[in-house]
Amino acid sequence: MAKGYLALVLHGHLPFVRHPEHEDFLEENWLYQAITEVYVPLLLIFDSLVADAVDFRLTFSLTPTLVSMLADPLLQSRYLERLDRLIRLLEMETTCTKWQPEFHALAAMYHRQFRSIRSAFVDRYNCNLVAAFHRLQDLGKLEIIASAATHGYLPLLSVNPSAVRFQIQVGIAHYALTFGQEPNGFWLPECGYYPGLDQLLSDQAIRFTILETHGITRARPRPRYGVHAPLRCPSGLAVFGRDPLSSRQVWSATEGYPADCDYREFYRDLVHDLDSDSLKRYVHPGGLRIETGIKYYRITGKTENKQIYVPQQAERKAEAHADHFLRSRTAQVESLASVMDRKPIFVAPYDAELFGHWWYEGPLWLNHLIRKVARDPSSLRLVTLSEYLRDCSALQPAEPPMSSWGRNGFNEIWLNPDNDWIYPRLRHAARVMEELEADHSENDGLTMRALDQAKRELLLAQSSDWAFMIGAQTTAEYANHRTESHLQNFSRLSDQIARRSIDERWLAEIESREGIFPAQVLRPGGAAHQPPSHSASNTH
Amino acid sequence: MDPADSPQPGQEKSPPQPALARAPEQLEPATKEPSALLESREKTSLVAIPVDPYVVHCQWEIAHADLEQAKRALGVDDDEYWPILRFCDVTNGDQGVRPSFSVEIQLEAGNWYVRSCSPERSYRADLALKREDGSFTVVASADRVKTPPSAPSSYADEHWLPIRLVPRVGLPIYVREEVSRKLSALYGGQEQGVFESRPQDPLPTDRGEEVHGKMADLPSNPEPPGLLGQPLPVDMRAEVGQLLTQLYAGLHLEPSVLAAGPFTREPFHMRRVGSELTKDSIADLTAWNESSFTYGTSSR
Repeated sequence: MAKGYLALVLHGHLPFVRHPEHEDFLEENWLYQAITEVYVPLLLIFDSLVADAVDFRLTFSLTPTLVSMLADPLLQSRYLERLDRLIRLLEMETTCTKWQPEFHALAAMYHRQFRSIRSAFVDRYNCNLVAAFHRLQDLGKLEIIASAATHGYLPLLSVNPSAVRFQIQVGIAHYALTFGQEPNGFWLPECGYYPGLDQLLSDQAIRFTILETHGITRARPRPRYGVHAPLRCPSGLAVFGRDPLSSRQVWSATEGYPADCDYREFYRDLVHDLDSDSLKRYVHPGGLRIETGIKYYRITGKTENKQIYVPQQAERKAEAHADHFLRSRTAQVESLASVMDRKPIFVAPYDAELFGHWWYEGPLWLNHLIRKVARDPSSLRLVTLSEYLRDCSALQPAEPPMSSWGRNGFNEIWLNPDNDWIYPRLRHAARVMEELEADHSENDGLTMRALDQAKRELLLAQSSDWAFMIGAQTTAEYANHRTESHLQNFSRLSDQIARRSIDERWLAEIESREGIFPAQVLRPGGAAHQPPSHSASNTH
Repeated sequence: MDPADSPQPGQEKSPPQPALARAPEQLEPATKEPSALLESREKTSLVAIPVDPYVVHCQWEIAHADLEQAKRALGVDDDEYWPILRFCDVTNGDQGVRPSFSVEIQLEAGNWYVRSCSPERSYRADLALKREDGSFTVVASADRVKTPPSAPSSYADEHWLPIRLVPRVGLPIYVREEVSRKLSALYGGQEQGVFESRPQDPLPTDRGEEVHGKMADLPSNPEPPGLLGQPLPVDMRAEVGQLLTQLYAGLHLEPSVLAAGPFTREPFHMRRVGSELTKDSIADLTAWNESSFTYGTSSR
C-alpha cells in the first residue's frame, strides 16, 4: 500500500483570441502552437497509458476560454491550414537538408511528427479535443476541474463581489454545459486567493481549490502538516497547497529539469533562418516571423554556440529526470510518513503549456513518470484531488491569507504602474452592469441579447491575461487594444440599453466576432447557474 | 520566468487617467462619446487594495462638488492645503485609533502606491485635505484593507499542534509505559497510542544509564505494549498534553527539561543538517515548506 500520494495538476489555459475579421491573425497562433505541441501530444500519451492498462490519475483544469477556442470550427479549420503549411515547409526542409545528415534527420523527425499530429487531430479526435479530454474523465483517469469564465484575477476584481461571483458562476455553468456534470474542484486563476473567496466558491458547491505554497503555510492557525494535507476554510472549502520541492524541480528556470543542456532550445526556431519567399509561402502571407515549432538546437549551456539537438539523448534525459523526480518524492514520503498521522500528499500543479511548448520533452517526462509510479505502488500513488478528499480524515480548519503564484507571490504583476489603469474602469463597468441588470429584467429579445453581449465584453475585459501581458511587457500593445476595445464595446452597449435604442446590426456583428459563452451560461437564475442539491453541506 | 520588473522606487503614481481627472463640465455628451455613460457618473470614492504585505494601492475619484465642499469646511483656498492619504491601523479595533502614517499625494494622479504598510495588519485609509496647522478634513474613505502575512503564523491551535506527541528530551521508558496505562484507564481500555509506531533511537537523557538499563529489560521490539501509534482523535489531544505535563512534574527532572515541557507549543525546534530533513526539523512541516519555497516559481 502506498505511503503517500502524488497529485499532478495540469492547468490548461489560453486567453480568448478569435479574429474572423482577419485572414491570418498573429495571436491566434498561440492556440495553434499549443494544439500541436501540448494538447495533442498529452492526449496521445494519456491514450497510450490507457491502452497499456497503466493505472494513473491526473487533475486537469481546462478554462472556458480554451475550451471555447478548441471547440470553435473557424479556429479548427485555420489550425489545419496552418499545420498543412508547416508540413509543406518540412517537405521543403527535408529536401534542402539532404546533404546535412543531422539537420536532415531532425527535419524528417518533425515531418513525421507533424503528420501524425494532424492525423490524430483529424482522424482520431475528429477535430474535437474537448471530447477527448471528456472521454478520459469518463474513464476515471482525469479529473477535469472548472475555472473562472475568462481567467479573471479574482483578488483584484474583489472590490465588486458581483464581478467575482459572475466569473465563478459562468465558469461553472460553462463547465456543466461542456462536461455534463458539476465540477468538484475549481482552479483559481494564477492561484489568486483572498480571504472570503472560499465562501463564494462554496456557495457554488465547489469542494476544493489549490493555492500557492504560502497560501497554506501562512494560514492561521499554523498548519500542522504544511502543504502535505489540505486545510478546511471557514466555509468548508478544502484548499490544497503546492509542494515547493516538486515545483522547483520542474519550474525553476535555472535548476529545474527544463534547463538541462540536452533539451531542445526554445528560442532558435527555424523561422529566423527562412528567406522572405519561404516565410510568405509557408509561415505567414505577410512575411511575419511566427514561430514554427521546428528547432534544430539544444540548450547546450550558457553559450551562443548552440549544438545540434539529439532527440535520443533528450529522451534518455527525460527518463532520468522522471526517475529523479520519483526518487525525490519517495524520499520525502519516507520522511513525512514518520511524523504524520495520515498519508502525505504532494500537490504538483503546472501550466499544461509547459509540457511540450516551453519544455519540448515535458510530455516524455510525464509519460515516464506516470509509468514509473504505476510500476511501484508501494511508495507513492497517483491520485486526483477528489479521490484524496474522499479517503482522508478530518481536515485542519484554518484561514488562508491572500496569495498567488505570480512573481513575488501576491498581486504585483497584475497591479503595477503599467496596468493599474484597467481596474477603475473595470469597477465602473461592473457597477453599470449591476444597474443594467436591475433596470432591464424584461424578456424583450433584443435587449436580452444586448445584455448578454455586454456581459461577454465585460468578462473578456476582465481577463487577467491582458494585465499580465501589459505588466510583463509581452504583447502589451495587443493586450492594451483588447482591454480598450472590450470596455468601449461594453460602454456603447450599456449606453444603447439604457436609452432603449439598440443598433441591431452592430450587435449581430460583435456577437459573431466574439463567439463565446452561449446565452444560457450568462443569465443569472437560469438552470445553468443553480448550484446542485448536494451543496447543502461541504464536509469532508 | 519573466524577468523581475518591479516598479521603480520613488515612482508611486501612474499617469493620470484623463477621464477621471476631468471636471464634469469638460465631459462631452454621451451621444458623441460612447464611453461618457461610464465616465459621467461622477462619484467620490476611495479604493484601497493590497499589492503585497508592505504595499497598498489606493485609487480615488473625487467629485468636484465634494472637493469644493471639503475646501470650504477646512476654510482654505487652492494653495492653502495639500492632499494626503491617512492610514490608521485598526487591526485591534477602531476605537481610539491614531493614524499610523500619512502620505502626501497629488490629487490629479488618481492613484498612489503606499509603501509604508506592515504585514498582516488591517488599515482604514482616508483621503483628506490637510492644512498647514495640521488640521484636516476627510474627503473619502476606503473599505478596510488587510495586508497579507509575510511569514507563517505563530498561533497554533492546540488541537492541531504542528509537532509530534513525543518528548523533545529523553523520557525514561517506564514513563511511557505509565502514560499508556493511564490512557487505557481514561479511555476504557481502547488501545490509543500516544507515541509513534516507529521505534525510537536511544533517547538522549541526563539519566542515560537508567534508560539503557530499562531498555535492556524490554523485548527486542522496543515498543512498549499497547502503544500502537494510532492517530488520536482531536478531542483527546489536549487531555494527553495535560497528562504528560502532570507526569513530567512528578518525575523530578532537571528544571531545563521541565521548562521545555513534554511537548512544546513552540514549533521552532528545527534541526537541519545541510538541507536534509532530520527528525526534529520535520516536526515543523510548515517551516520546512516555507524554507523550500520561492515566490513566483512558474512560467508566469
